[in-house]
Amino acid sequence: MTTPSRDDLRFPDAVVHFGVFFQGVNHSTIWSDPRSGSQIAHSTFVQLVRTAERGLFDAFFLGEGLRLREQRGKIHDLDVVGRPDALTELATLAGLTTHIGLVATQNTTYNDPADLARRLASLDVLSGGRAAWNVVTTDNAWTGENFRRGGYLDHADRYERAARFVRTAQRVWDSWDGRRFTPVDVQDAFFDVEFTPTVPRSPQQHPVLFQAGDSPAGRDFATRTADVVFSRHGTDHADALEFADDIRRRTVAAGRPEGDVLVLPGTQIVVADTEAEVEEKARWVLEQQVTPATALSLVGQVWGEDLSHLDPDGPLPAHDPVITDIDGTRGAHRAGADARVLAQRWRAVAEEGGFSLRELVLHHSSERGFAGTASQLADELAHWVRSGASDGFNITPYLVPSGLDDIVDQLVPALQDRGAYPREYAGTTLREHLGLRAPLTRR
Amino acid sequence: MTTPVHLFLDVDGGGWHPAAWRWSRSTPDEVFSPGRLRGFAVTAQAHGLTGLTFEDSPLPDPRNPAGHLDAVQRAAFLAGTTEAVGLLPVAATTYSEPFHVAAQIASLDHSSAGRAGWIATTSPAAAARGVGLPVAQDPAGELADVVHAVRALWDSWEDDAVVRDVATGRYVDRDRLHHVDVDTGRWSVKGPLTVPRSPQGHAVVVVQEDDLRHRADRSTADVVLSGDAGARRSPGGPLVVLDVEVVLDTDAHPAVDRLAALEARAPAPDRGRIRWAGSGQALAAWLADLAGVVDGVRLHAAVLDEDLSTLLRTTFPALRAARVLQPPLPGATLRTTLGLERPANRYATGPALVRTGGDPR
Repeated sequence: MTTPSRDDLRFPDAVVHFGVFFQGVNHSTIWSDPRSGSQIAHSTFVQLVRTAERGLFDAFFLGEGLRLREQRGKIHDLDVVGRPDALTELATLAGLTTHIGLVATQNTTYNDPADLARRLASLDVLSGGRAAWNVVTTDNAWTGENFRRGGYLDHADRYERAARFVRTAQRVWDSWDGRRFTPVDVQDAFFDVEFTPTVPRSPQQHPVLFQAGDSPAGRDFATRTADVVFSRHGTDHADALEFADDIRRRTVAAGRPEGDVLVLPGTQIVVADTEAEVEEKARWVLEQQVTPATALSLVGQVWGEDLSHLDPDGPLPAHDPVITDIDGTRGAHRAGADARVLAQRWRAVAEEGGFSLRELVLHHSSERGFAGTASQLADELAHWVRSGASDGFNITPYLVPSGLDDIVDQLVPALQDRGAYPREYAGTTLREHLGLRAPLTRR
Repeated sequence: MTTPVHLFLDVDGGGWHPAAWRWSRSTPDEVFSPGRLRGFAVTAQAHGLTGLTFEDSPLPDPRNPAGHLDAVQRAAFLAGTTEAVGLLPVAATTYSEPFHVAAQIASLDHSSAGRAGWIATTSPAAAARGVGLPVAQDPAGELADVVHAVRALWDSWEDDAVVRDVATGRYVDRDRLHHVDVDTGRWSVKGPLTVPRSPQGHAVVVVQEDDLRHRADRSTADVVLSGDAGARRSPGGPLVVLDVEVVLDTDAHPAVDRLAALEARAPAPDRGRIRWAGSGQALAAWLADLAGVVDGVRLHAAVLDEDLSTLLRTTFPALRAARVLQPPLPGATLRTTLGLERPANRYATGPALVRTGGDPR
């Protein structure tokens, strides 16, 4: 754990912003525990969002997947599969909450700007200004098989299309002047649309824009366009600080003030009462997430073959992977990596640590976020935001729907005691909670 | 036992008449406010209505110059705060992605515990400009194809696909998930859907009779909306619901005068619906006579603020007294309320997997 030092607090008055990410599809969600609720029942979403709102969380996130993950032609069957449509579910939650922001992940490839902008604006009006859009891109033909357009987009074009898409959506949202709508007419390399919008502005004017890409192109897109970056740098402080500094640099380069784009890394938080309990609970979480079957499946992704017949407590395969690149179209998060290089590295780590196949995967999965007592965690998270490593965290609960209970009941009060967490919502809109200024196109 | 007449109320904008907003007590901002929507839901549920419908169009609506929210979003907004009333939004099929429509309506069915309907409609040609696509040559054919694809996607998860087998580490049984492989020659959908099968199996699919014209196969729809005053229910076929635009007497003005005043402001287009003008009591008597003739009636109020108050004071109480309404029971699915079977899953392989009767799981 990082020891907070007094001399590196660049933002001494910063407070921690929390979001909750209902992950849905990933092995981070433990479904095997008796306390684990349905991943699709509406009651699960209601309990989680109400807990988050009680804990003054800024936002409730839903992910999106437009095709079920497959490995070698078979649907992946080990993790949670299936979730509601994000915008539809969030509209229901808008009717059951009063303050929390509602963030829908929606991609720019398999939607139309007129339609998506209208649905997002509808959520924004129905929620009284609490909607946000986590802009993601997809470019693979495999996902495209579920859509009329198919897989038509060149990889190189995906951020260009995303930028044009967002700009078109912003024009839709800007078309209402309080009395009437101005027709929107867009003709560029990607879109040829002409129509008169029908949805007026919400109290926060536009849905808040989140962006999650991590590549240089993704970072530039975010700092030119978005309000918040949803990053993967939520584990290691030095790594997070480097990322946040890079975002600040790019934000200034895009002609915006340094603090104009917030950074909210995704992370996991394990809270317990004593250090011994923390260690035990963190180990339990990890072993529930990485079951023997999941360990074999993850190693199988790298080797490119079905390894389910292997002994998870035995060694890694002795032979080289049968593939060169890890398949980018099947939702493997190491997509695009060189399989043989990765396998070689894994074998070296396993040999050095004396790890079995599953122990190696556990070893690689152990740095998912934070574990500690409420008091330790409050010190550490306050240090993160005050040193500028992030503006808060987007927490993935490892259990739903009860996975936020200890965070809200123990960690939030500990942060409040340190003056590092709000004691009430700043307003009623998400833009107000996050301290964001007017939308970029309305400044 | 009397055959019930199921009542639906459309709650879009200020009312069916294009001049409605001028007579509305609501300011333009209030016409689409969440509070107003909530009020309609409470009213519909309290008076035993079977469902609320949410008309929609991607194009500007002369009935409500201040705006127009997405219908699926409006229906979903009410799903968590209602317990009995059906929620039936329009989602057009002409330029939509069938995969998105299937996911949205299935999600509404999950969050409403089985009270979702889907009014599948064609889009006007002008909507093509909004999505940047060429005008569709055969919207009715497109509708049939999209409904077919959506229903296949709703079956792409068998009811018990989620097995949560701790011993083997399997969350789902992949043999109970299916690629649908729908291919129309113009587009294809692979599947499975990303949303598990919903409480009703298939949301109640509603189609306007006009959209079915030239199509022999009426099995596309669970319910057909008809603007034909001579329509009759057809045993074994889809339910027949009359689509009726009403303008009612108020304390101050007879219906005919109100209609004349509205028409003087902005003549209403013919939307192929029955138009009915008169007193709330007379409407109740006509609706009671329709029990057994058709399965239901959808009411469109000329000016929601004015006509709804007449419906509440006179028509609905008279219908309740005549026992021709059959109010949905809290927790019942829309299919159960309408007496529709829960569709068996086309992919289900074992007898244990086939469920009928509409019991929410």
